[in-house]
Amino acid sequence: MHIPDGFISPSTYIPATVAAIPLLIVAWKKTKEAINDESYAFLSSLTAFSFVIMMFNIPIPGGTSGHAIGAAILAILFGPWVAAFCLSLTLFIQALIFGDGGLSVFAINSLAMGFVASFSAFYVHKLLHNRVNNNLVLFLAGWSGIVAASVVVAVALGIQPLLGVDALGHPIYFPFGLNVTLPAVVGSHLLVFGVVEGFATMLVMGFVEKIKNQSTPKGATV
Amino acid sequence: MPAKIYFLLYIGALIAISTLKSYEPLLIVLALLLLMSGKSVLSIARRSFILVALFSLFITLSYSFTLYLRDESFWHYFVTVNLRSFDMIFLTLLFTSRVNIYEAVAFSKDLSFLLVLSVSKIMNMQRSFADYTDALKSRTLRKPTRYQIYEYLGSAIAGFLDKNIREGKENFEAMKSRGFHV
Repeated sequence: MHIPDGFISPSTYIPATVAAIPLLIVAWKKTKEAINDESYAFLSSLTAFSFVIMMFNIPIPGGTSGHAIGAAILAILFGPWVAAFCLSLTLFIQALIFGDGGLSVFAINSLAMGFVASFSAFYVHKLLHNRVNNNLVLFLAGWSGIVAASVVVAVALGIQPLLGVDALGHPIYFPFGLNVTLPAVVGSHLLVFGVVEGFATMLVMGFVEKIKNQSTPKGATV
Repeated sequence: MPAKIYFLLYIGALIAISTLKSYEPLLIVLALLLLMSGKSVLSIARRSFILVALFSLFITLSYSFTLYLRDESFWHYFVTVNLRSFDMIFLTLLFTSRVNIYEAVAFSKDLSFLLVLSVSKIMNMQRSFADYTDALKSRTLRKPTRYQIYEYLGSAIAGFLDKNIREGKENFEAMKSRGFHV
């Protein structure tokens, strides 16, 4: 889902950066409050985990596969601010050190995959927890988080033909409008990547339940 | 010049390149970047090309094809967008190869420390992931069922989470025993 450099106009990514910076500062402060003096080593562990989870390709019924981002897992275990911060740090490292995603669009990627995915997953889990089957709740939390993030990405991409045009009025950044990006990006996340994230959340949380009695980190809410 | 100044210059250059809307100035930028990269030109260019090909080429080719079907000129769009992506990625890779990134983004002591720790853990995790995958391959004789794949993925991802948390505690103890307090 990472948007790369060069497809988003400055008139979109500059306001997004202005919006993301205060959110990141709040997330950093909330993260430090949430997990005591072990925070540095622990936070770096969570960041590495969110990086690693993107390396696992998960097959889904229908013959296709994709990777999860782990937003729901981190949000359910450690809260949405910690999850948003760790995912944003992962995206920053990917953009700057691995050249994946792009620094100019870091804020949009962070708002979508860090904040929107984490908060959506967290509140869906909170709303449905103990009301319906636990596996279904975990699946829906993961699924809804990544689908919500995909809406942000689809809108950011889809408005580019309106904002970034050349002298002749032709698109010069991302070329397809909302009529293409919403069904393509959101549709694929509704049917494929959301299912992958949902499965990953369900599977991992199932195993976390098994091992949580052995090592429950401070700050974990499970 | 301090790394932070380079970082600000890099951000400024990145924004400037992103505003360019035709390929002529982008070609000039590319020529400057190639000159600046010196001996590492080929390795940076190869990595940039791969990263551009992963996303930009797919999008720009599909849009260029729709323009072609409408009998409209598509070269300007195709060249400009891919060149801009290439320039921006090339600039980022050049920056990261020449400047100490940890020093460049050390706007807060806490954050720069966290960044160093995170990157070192990510490198470790990448190695562990490769070992884990190789070990699994070498021990798998028959094609696993979908259920077995799910079971493996769930345990592997949860195992990495558990490993990360344990190592986090060990790292903290190691830091404390060496007198490190943030």
